[in-house]
Amino acid sequence: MAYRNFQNFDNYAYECDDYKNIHSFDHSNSRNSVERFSSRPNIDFSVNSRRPPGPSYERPSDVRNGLRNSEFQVNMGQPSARVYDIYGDPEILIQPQNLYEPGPSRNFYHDSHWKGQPIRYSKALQNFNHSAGQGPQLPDIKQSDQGSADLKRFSRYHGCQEKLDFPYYTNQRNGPQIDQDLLAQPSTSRDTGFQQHRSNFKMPDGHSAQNLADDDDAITRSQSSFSYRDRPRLLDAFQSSKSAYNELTVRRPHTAPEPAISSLRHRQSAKHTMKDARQIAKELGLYSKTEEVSNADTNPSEMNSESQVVPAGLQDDEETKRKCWARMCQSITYHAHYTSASKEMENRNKVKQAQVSPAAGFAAWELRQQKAKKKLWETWKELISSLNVWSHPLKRIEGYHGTGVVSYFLFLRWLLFLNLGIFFLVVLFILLPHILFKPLESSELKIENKTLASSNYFPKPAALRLYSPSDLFPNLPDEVFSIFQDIGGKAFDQASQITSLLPSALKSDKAFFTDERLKFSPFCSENYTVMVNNFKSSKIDLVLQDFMQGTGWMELTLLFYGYYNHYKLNLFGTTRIYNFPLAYLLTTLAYFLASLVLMVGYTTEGVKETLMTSESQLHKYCDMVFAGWDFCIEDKKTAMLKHSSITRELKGHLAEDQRNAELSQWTRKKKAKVYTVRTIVNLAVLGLLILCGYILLLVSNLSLEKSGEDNEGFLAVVIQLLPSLTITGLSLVVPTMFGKMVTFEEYSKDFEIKITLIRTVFLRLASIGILIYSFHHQISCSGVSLDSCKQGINSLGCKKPMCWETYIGQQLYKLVLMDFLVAVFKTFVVELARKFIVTHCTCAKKIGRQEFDVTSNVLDLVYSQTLCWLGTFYSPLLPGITVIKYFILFYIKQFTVMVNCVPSQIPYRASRSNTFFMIVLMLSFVLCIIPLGYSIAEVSPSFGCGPFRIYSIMWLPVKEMIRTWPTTLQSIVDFLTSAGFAVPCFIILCLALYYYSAQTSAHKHMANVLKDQLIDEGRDKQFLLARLSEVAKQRELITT
Amino acid sequence: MGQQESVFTEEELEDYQELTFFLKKEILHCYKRFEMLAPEAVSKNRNVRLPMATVLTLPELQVNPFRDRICKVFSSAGDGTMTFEDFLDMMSVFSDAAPRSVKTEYAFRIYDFDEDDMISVEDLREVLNRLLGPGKKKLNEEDIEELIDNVMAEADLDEDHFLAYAEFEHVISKSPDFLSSFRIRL
Repeated sequence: MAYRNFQNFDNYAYECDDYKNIHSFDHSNSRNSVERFSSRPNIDFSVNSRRPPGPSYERPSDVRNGLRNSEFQVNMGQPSARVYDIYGDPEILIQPQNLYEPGPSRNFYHDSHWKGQPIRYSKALQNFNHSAGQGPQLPDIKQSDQGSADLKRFSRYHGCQEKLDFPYYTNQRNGPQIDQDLLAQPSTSRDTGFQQHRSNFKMPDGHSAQNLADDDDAITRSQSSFSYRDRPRLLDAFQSSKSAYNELTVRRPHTAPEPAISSLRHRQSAKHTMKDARQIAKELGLYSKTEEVSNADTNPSEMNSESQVVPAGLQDDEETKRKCWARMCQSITYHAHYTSASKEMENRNKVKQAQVSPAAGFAAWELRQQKAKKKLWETWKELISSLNVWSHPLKRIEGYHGTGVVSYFLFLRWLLFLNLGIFFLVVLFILLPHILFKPLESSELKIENKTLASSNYFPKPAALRLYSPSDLFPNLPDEVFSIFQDIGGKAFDQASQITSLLPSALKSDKAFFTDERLKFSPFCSENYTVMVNNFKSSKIDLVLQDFMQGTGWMELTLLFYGYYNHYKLNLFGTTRIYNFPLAYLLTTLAYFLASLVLMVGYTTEGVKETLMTSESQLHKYCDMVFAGWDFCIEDKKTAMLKHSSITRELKGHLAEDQRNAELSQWTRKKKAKVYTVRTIVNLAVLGLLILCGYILLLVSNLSLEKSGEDNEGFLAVVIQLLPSLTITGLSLVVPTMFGKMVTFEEYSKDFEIKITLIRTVFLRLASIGILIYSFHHQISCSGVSLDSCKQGINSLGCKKPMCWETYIGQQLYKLVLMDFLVAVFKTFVVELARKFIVTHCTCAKKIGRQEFDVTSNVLDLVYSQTLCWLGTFYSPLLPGITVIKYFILFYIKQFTVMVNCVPSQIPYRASRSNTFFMIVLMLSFVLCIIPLGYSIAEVSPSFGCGPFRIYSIMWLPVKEMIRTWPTTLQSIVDFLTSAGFAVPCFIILCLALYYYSAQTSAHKHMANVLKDQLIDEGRDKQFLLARLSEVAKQRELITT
Repeated sequence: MGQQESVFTEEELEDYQELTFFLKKEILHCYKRFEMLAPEAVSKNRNVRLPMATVLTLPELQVNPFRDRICKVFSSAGDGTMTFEDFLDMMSVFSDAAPRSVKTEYAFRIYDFDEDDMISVEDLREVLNRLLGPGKKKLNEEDIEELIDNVMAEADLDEDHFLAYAEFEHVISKSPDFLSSFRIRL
């Protein structure tokens, strides 16, 4: 087509000052001239922009008049009048409406004030551009690379100066691409390209652009690429939109070539708003006439002008085509963010086309498929949104306390769903199989035998038959047999007699391989059951006590590890086997992996924010000014507080700056003093932490010792709950001490909060660590004389429980319950009382009402989540309990926040806290993984209980499973788990880490360099523009 | 959803869903909130144009220091009056689902008090005055000047004492709090 020839020309036409020539030249093809001139507003704008330095690029006024006549000169910088001049022109405005039938009955096209604002107009035009660029009936308006690149360069130049191309067209995804394209070219080559291009370009009257060449080149070089990345595309887009518009108005749609889908690849748009839709609808004449009449608000005069529908001389098919295209455009533009725009576009294209001409066969089927898919996607979204529980309470909290506090509740909700997921896994793979499937009965031993025999790990058992005591212990004295027979009599004392009678050789740990375990475990299980049943009591207070402690009647339930069997299970009447121990282990692995993945997912969402936070130090004032106000706030008091907190924060930052200025002037003496104080405080903090750990250790040992004695009722409960009470008490007292101590250290306010937090986190994690240590100490006490079922008491009072897994489960269960009770107590007794005292008694005004401390509450949550992670292996129902706990906790905390607390004086930044929450959670996750992994891989499980009673370590079922795999797979697994793989892997990871950290620092450096460069270039630009305007003025003088 | 069906047809809802960041359910909720502003007028005519004072009774807007600007920016008439579609538009932009680019765009217009497409020193001063509120503990003039200088130093890349949209966008893209604060929960 002809306009292709003009491409090269036009790109520079407006760069030279001789517009008149271009204008006359363009008369040969008015359509294309118009199209090219559409980019001109960019130039014009600099004239209108309010810039104190003032240099602007004035164009000869006669040219401008000439242009105005061409009716396509759009000056966006001018107030609406001018825009109206052009687009209010009935020629153009009504034409589209002539072309289209009134649109579908949509009410939102009734806006009558559409041409008032240049901004909206520009937006609309852009959207129009999207649609135009994407329209199937339009020619491919993509420019040749050279041409568009030049155009981009040009637009970069002007883009820096004008406010016209206010980049409403803000597509982050595509912006940088083009930018990089440009950046990728070395500046010299760009410039030479520019020159070459210029020489190719023949000026019609020989009045070449050389005069300005120097300036131009300098300007091109001085372009900043930084924040104007959207401008090139804007201009590009603008231009193509115009050409599309021309295509329309010229009424030659039937000559239009194939759809220009390729051109829209880099023209995806973000979803805009309805207002834009209205604009487009207006542009395209989709405006429904009837709607307008029915709309009372519409300006009557405008309505008249717009509703002159004269569908003259258009063939029907063309009209429908246009209609469908227009309709499509407006919906596509707003839909682009769902999928890639081009794909969406193609789909819609098909849909619409099919609507026009009923498609047959495959196309129709495809269409239906697409419709169904879309429907499905929407239903899915609806479904997901219905999971969005508590949105109303959250909103209320947000309105009262702002986003910082809400982030705590969001975290709580996230944890709740996490635990729900874990619980679901547990129910599906542990609970249900255990309840529903029958154990393999007679075949069990055979299978056991077979797998064991095939396994290389264990010595071949001599004989595996159904056991009788004489088989097991051939050299046992006779009297033991009778007791063995008697064991049905459930006499605990007798049972322990047996164990004491066992030959000492069997007591040695190393002699116990899995086949020995097979022999012993039925006996030990029996033993264990007897013991537990002995402790059962039906007295109501004891029942309650047992409920609190997880002992007695609760011990042998699904709640605890000990209840689960080691049998392989038979899937409903089939011969397939459900390997329960393996399932137990793999489920544990699965929920830890799932937690990790979810956490990583949650964190990566926030990573961008984290990076920004670290970078936001550069923009802290802007952040506060432009993002300071919480738009969610709806409470008057909170709003007042927000005002004052913003004031305080701003003041704080100003003071901080002053302080930093002072800091550099500190004398050596002062410095020495501060550093000494800091060292002392840090030591004190360390001492305090150690002290806390020691207290906790003492308390937990005490509680374990005492729990062996026969304590009744309340005292026993208190003793049992002593460790968790201590943890809670310490976490209440110590952080306030940290808060007091940090004031001596003369840190900045920001850092003060941070370091106190870190110390508090240490306290929490340390207390969990101590707890785990005390468990470990308990189950592996040294110097204990163990019986055959590996329980025993040493002289120091260290008592190894019969089923240590259940024991740990019980401890964690207690801690979970206690944690919950403390939260309830704190809320309804301490905080409520405080509130009443403060509100009703003037004497206590000083204390003031409680503020909701987000961080300490989050630490509480992390603590209880840690308990849950730790405990799920030993007490599979714990996640379910935790879910219920969190659910109730949500309402309790809501109560606290809304009733007991006043909005906080210290502003919490949601962004800052979110990442912090996750980091702490990750830390505690690691803290859980290590001891659990150790206990699975190293510690030998109890004989008498649990799914692993026949294995010498819990990990063996997996090894057993691997042994059944084909040899190649086995060798692969062997390799993957060997040091030969792990060490290189570790080294490679280290190298990668190093590489990325090096890259990060390089990027940082580069960013700084670029920023400096940008500032320099900004100055250059101003200087050059001043020169340019000088030259232009001189020129004007010469011509006149 | 039974009685709400009478307010919007399924097709209308679908259109609204396509044009906003909302799901159908949320659109209906939005309508409820709009209706609450002026129950009588809205129930008579769904597309009634509510005056700015009525719109400002929305709790979130009531205390918002930029309330009049918000109304003006989102009003299709440009004078702060709002129809349901304007309202929906506003809620959509303030919703969670709206991308940063759209939010930034509207934030710029809200902060651009004199509507010259540039944030000038005067605009900034106005923003600060509104942010600091009518409280007693106001900053003194020098502090405000210093703040403005600081903001300009951070954001004004080409040093012309105006923040163009591009500069504003750049600064906002570095602001971690913007997305969470420029938001109104439905």
